[in-house]
Amino acid sequence: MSRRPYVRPMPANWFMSKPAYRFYMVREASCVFNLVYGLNLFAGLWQLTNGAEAWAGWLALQAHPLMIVFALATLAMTLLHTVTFVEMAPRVMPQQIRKMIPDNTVKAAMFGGIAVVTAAIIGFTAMGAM
Amino acid sequence: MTEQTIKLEILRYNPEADNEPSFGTFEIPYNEAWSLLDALEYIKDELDSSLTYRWSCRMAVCGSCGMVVNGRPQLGCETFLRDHYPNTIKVEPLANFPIEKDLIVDATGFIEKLESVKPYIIDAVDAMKANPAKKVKETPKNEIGTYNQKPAELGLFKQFSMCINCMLCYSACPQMGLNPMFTGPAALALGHRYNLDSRDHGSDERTEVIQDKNGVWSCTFVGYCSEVCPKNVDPAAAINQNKAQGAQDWALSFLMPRKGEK
Amino acid sequence: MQIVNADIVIVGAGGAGLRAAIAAAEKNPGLNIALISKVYPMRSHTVAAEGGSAGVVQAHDSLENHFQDTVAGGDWLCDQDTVDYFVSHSTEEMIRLENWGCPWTRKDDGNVNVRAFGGMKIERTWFAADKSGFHMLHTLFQTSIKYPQIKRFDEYFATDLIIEDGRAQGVVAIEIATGEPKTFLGCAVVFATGGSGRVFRFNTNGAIVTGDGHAMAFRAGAALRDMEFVQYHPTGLPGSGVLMTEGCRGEGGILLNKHGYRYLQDYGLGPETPVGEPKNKYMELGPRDRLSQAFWNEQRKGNTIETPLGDAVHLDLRHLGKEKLMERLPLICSLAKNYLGVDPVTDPVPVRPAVHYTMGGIRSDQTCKTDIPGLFVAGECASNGMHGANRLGSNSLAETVVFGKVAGEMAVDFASQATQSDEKILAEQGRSHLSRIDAMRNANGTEKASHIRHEMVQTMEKTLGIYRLGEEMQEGVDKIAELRERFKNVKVEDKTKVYNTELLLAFELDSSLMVAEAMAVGALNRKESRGAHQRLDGFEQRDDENFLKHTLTYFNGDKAPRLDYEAVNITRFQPAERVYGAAGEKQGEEKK
Ligand SMILES: Cc1cc2nc3c(=O)[nH]c(=O)nc-3n(C[C@H](O)[C@H](O)[C@H](O)COP(=O)(O)OP(=O)(O)OC[C@H]3O[C@@H](n4cnc5c(N)ncnc54)[C@H](O)[C@@H]3O)c2cc1C
Ligand code: SF4
Ligand code: FES
Repeated sequence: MSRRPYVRPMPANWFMSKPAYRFYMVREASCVFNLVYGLNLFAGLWQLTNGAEAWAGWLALQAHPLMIVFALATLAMTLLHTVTFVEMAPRVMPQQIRKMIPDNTVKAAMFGGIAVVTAAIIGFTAMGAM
Repeated sequence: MTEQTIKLEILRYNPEADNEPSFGTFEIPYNEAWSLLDALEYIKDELDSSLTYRWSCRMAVCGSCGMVVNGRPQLGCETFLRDHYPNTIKVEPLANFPIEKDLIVDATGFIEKLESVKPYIIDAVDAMKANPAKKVKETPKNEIGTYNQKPAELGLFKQFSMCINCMLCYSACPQMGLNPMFTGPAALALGHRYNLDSRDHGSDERTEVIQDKNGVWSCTFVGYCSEVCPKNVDPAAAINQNKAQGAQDWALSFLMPRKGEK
Repeated sequence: MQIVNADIVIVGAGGAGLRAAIAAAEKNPGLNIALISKVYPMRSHTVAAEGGSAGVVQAHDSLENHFQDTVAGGDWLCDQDTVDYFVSHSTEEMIRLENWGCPWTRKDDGNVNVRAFGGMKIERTWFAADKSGFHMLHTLFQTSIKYPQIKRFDEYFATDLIIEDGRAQGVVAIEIATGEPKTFLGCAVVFATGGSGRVFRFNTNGAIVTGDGHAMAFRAGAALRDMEFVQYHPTGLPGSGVLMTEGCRGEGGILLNKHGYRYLQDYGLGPETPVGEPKNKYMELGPRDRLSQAFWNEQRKGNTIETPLGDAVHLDLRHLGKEKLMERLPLICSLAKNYLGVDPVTDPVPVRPAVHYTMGGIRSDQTCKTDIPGLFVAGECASNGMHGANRLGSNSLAETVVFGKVAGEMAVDFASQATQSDEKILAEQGRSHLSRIDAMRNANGTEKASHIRHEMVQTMEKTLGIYRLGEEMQEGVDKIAELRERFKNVKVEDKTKVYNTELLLAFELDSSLMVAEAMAVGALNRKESRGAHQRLDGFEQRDDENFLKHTLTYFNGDKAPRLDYEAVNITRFQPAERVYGAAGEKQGEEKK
């Protein structure tokens, strides 16, 4: 038979080939930052149970410039994740609900909710610090 | 004045002569009104009659002419030279499909996937035939025999019925490349279209395919499929609505076994 | 050569072919149906139909109204028994499509909505926004998947009909992916191969609309009938020919010349109706032939608008407002924007007539039978007598399903009574057609098929236009004959087997040339003006005495087709003057 379909190989670094894919990978990577940062927080908790000295050591580590860069990067990634998540959320809602509530209302409500929770946490932390 | 020209780089593959595809370059007169399809027709008629591609309607509705233009899956008849001039246009066959010849890819797998989601109305009678234990109420009909369907009910699925089967979304989807068994955006959106139709009672019969690991669960919501879709079908939304539904059904199956079983 | 055995072989998977397949499958679930199409079914040109499909539903409408509109619209060249059958079965087909999932546009109460269409007295056009054909085709295709006995052969290109024992018993078709010819055998054959608008340069048709089925039946001895009647749609986009549906005017769009004047009132379609209040059979809702003719006259008077892509008039939709345009005519808006850079919401759209539909086709009747026993035809390739000299918009989508069903059922009846001839003889027949395929594949002449095609479409446009002259038509006849001769010396450069589209284009061109010749010969010899056939050389009037009859053309080898005529079936609606606008209303009153 003369037919000889050619299957193009999928390059291992396919995700570099298009801006859309790169963005997707960054979005996915944002979880890694959150995971590592979470582990860091757990480490802090652990050190807290190990006495004042250990806790102070952990706190000192947090002040290290690299850790600050990492914290800022995590913040940026978390914001990206939040924004992409909220952007996608209305599309995932059951079509029945989606047709009733405009996408933008859902997004506004979600951003509003996130803002309230964030403010509450910051307020709570600030109060604790006082 | 010399005539203005534009260059096209086209991925060529002749299965009877070539071991692998390679680019061929054509320089053709530039015409502002031309679509990419017009340019290809010029090449076929005047320069190289062996150039092979699919097309018919040239009005973006038959879905024949999907190709990758400068890296982006697009309809050839809806791509205009004027949007690229004076740059070279690079044209390749749709990604994630085997190339048969030049810009023609093997679409048989795609068609089988479309068929696999049972894309037709399964009415109450058929639904009960498939599952006699289930009580299904027929959708009410109007006097003349059409089903009664309010504009809002039509609006629910309409967007997902606009798919022209152009396969651009399959070319856009990296998961498709990684797992060729993935049912894929257009087919899953089509299944969803019928599930959402108030005249249909067949969602149970589509569950197996839709909720399979090669169904919606192969999708990681890259979302590029919806970006390239020329008809705003938003297949990514269809898939992920089904994931949400599937997850909910799965969770409910623990709380209320009966609901989960249905 | 591989043989594929079936009970019924259907060529064409557009609206008509799919409907035939489903009807056959339902009528006798035990039969094997081979459904052959040169493109995937959803690429068939039914997909491009925008406006809608006719079927009487409103209480104040009647089958008689639809009948009269159709017959008068066809300038009395319609076979009235066929029209009767058609109007009394189209509504049930529309309902069936609805039951199968077709997303017809709805009214608030959940009933199906209907819109006004040119030449129709009362709104009876079912529509799915401006993608009616698209939704019909996808509904039919998807529904056909339910029937396992329908075996599809997608991307198979039929080249010849197999005739044995004086009846059709199969076809030869090339599997496009491999280039292998195969013989399909069945006790009945259905052709639903669509129209042939591509023989003209400026047209609204897709690349596949090349008249292949016409030519196959023609060569096998069937008559092509009324081929000279070619419909020019008044509103195609200059340049591409992409259609702006008649639905635009049904929704209230108006046509303006370069002075901003609604010129249709000067052509027997007035008086002017208020903007935004379309009135059935008046002005913009007159029939297509009249509107296209009016354009031609305006062009002669210098009243058309010059655009870089040729003369045009304006289709003004602005007064409909963005919301209505987006709801009812979204496709139109995006097409105008993409292909012309004009947004109908803010600017009038330049339009001009373009070849759209072929009223003629393979001779048949309301039972879809042809001159060849065992061969049934439906859809645009058929001439069952329902369109006469001019088709009314939205009648042909309905035709595909009404007669698709008939063809499918008739094929079942025929197949269950016929016995297949000896397979050896049939296989031999199949092989005998191989030589033609091989000859085409190895064609090594000096003529470029693409150039012959360019000359053909230009010739047809020039000599078989909206208005016709004997001298010019003679020129057309001669030129097409010359091109047919030159085609024998064609060269097919691509020698590969896999997806050899150059080879298929050559086959299509061969078919198109035969169809073109039948059109030209039919036109030259129809010495009158009727419907879409309008002459300016002393035959400006309709001549019922001599030409109230169908033109028949028969294949005659290399020579021009042999001509014959046959009577029109007139049951109860006697020929009268065909008038629209106020004159039409007056005629209607007088009759009462
Ligand atoms: C732009 C446009 C808009 C229209 N709008 C309307 C409208 O609003 N209302 C209306 O009533 N009508 C409309 N029409 C007309 C109507 O759409 C057509 O007449 C009708 O769809 C024809 O359907 P069909 O099934 O006969 O053919 P098609 O849909 O053209 O199908 C032909 C089939 O035959 C197959 N075929 C052809 N040759 C071969 C071969 N050699 N081998 C194998 N297979 C072959 C093709 O693959 C295809 O499947 C419109 C037409 C056009 C062009
Ligand atoms: S979903 Fe969109 S991109 Fe995918 S096949 Fe359908 S129309 Fe094409
Ligand atoms: S040619 Fe039909 S979609 Fe492009």
